Amino acid sequence: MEEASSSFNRLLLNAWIGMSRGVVGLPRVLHVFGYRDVAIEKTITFFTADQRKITICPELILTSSITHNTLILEIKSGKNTEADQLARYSEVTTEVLGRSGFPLSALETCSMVVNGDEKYTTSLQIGIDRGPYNFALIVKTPKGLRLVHNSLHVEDLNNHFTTGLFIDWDTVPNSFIPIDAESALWEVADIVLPHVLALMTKRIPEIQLRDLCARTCEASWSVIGPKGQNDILLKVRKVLLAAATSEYKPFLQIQQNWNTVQIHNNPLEFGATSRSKIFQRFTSLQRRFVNRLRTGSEFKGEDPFTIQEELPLDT
Amino acid sequence: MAEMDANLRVLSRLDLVSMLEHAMREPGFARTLRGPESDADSTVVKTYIVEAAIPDGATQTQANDFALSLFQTRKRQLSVDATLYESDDAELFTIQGHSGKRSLTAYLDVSNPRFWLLHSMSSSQALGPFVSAMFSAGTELDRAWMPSQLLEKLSSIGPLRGLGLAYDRRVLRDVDFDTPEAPIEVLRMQFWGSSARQVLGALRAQDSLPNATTLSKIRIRVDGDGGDRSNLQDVKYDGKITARGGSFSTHLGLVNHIVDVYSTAIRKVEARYPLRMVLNEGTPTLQGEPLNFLFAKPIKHLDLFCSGLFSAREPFRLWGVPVVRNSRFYTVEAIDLHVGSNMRFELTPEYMRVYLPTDACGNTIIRLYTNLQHHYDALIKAEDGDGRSVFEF
Repeated sequence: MEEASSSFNRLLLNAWIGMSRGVVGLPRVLHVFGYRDVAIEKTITFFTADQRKITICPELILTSSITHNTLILEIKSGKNTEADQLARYSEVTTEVLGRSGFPLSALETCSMVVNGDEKYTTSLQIGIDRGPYNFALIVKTPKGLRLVHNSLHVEDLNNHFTTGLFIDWDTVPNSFIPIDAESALWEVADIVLPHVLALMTKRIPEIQLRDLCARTCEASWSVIGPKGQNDILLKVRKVLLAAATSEYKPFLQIQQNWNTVQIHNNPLEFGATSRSKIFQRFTSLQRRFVNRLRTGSEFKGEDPFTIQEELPLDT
Repeated sequence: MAEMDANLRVLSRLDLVSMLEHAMREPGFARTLRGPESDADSTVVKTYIVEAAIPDGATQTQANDFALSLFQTRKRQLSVDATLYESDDAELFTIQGHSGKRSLTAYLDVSNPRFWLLHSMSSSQALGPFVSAMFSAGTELDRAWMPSQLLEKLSSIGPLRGLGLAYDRRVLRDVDFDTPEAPIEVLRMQFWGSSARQVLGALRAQDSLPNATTLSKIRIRVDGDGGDRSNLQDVKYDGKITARGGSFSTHLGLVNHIVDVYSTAIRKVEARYPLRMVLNEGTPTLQGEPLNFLFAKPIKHLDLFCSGLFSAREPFRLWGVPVVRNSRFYTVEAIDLHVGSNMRFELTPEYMRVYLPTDACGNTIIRLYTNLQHHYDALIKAEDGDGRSVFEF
């Protein structure tokens, strides 16, 4: 069975954010204990007493003013931990977090969590013990999340994770972080092209790719840093190029600077009588395009002519 | 430009109130407003609450300009044989023309830049098609959608004198209605009289038709200030409020109260739920949360349900192409055709998560919720992450 998200990191990130926000279909324990995601992929820089500069960038930080605890989450999709990275995390203290702006009410204790895949439990545990560090190791199992090594500061939370939180991975939210650098092209197309169509309903003639990315990744764009943004930008550009040379050719064009999508023909400028019919045509167009990317099949070339017959192109 | 009928000209909003007040008391004058072909001396005033896709905080001038330009665009698109006349009050317009063979006169009050009022005494046959066309023509205007809970809340304003139920599952046809175990397909009833509330209670009983019993209209008696001038007011789920007899001032008072309650609910949705990144003491923090829609009975066929919901058609006005993540989980990047903004849906048979963007319009959610009550499940719930109802009136 295909999981809701193609990327391990994104799947877990969406699950943790969803749990903290009380999203239906997920365990409520984090939400009930007052944990809220307050920072996604936030870079924190500080100096140690011996004047070493330390930078960390955990996937997620959750704070609770009920348990007065902060969880720092590092997601590991692979087999091994990185010794240097864990060493940097070991320097993080509640004082560091407090000075970095995190709420003092949640900083009586701070738990560092490595969240990995169950099949790599042994190697991840070895990496943590090599420190040795007291980082909690929570693994993704087929049935949910389970604490398998070390412990969390908050006893009740620790008990829940030790027993295991049941999560139906098939229905984990996908929408807090809808795409990332590892997303498949069809996933990007599924999200991005409806944004282009929405702008077409507003009769906007051209769109900067960067603006489109920011709209598409509204929740994460400002925090993922230049590299993260560039990775997504490249994916979006690739998808739009594919669209503009195939199914969407009658409507879209990528300008030569590669950074602007031009809507050279907008059938949604028509009046009321044709709008819902036009959208129904776009349904089949979008379905065909996404399915083609999903299955890797070739664009057959005759589609634009079919589309031209289906859609009124001249205003 | 066609000349305006001088009898129907109003100079100001105050003038409008006086004129409609007079018309509600004088059937002869009301007939003038209804048009020469009107076949009944009716003193009924109809008011539609219109939600304009204009940002909260827009100035009066912006709202006036928006109304003017919108009408010109609509007129071209719909071939409406009507003219918009300005008045001394910049925020009041008179619309005159024809809808089919019937004459039409209506007054558009945009003094609340976002929630407009369209008053008319013209016949429903003339007004209905004009209003429907106005709403369906583009992304700028929508009705004020009132869930059952809001109608019930309003029913306590005065003695309940009747109610209407409307449920039509055919819009979201996810089951075969020919099978013996099929749910109710269509249910429409009207009850006039003081015992309407008891009938509603009986239909909502567990062993009756709770999933199909959706309030569509209430009729309440509202006493006027003069003591003897009582109005019968029909409040419909699509934002149409009809006054029968009595005083226009009382009618207008009720309409303004409904706008207050409705707009408060809309603004609460817009403030609390859209996902956005904000700076919290220098730390970018994700704010907002999805809304959780819980179905009383599981959706039988997600694909059919999605086909109906995201078809770009009335009344949902949502477009989207569902992606089948697995047989129990569909996701849809949708467009709300009212405001042209994107929103994300995640659907399972038991629940639906709805993610709103920063520029979301609260109307989107209240329209979705109200119409799901009317076209899928009268008992559907919309809750936040704490399990609290999104719409508490």
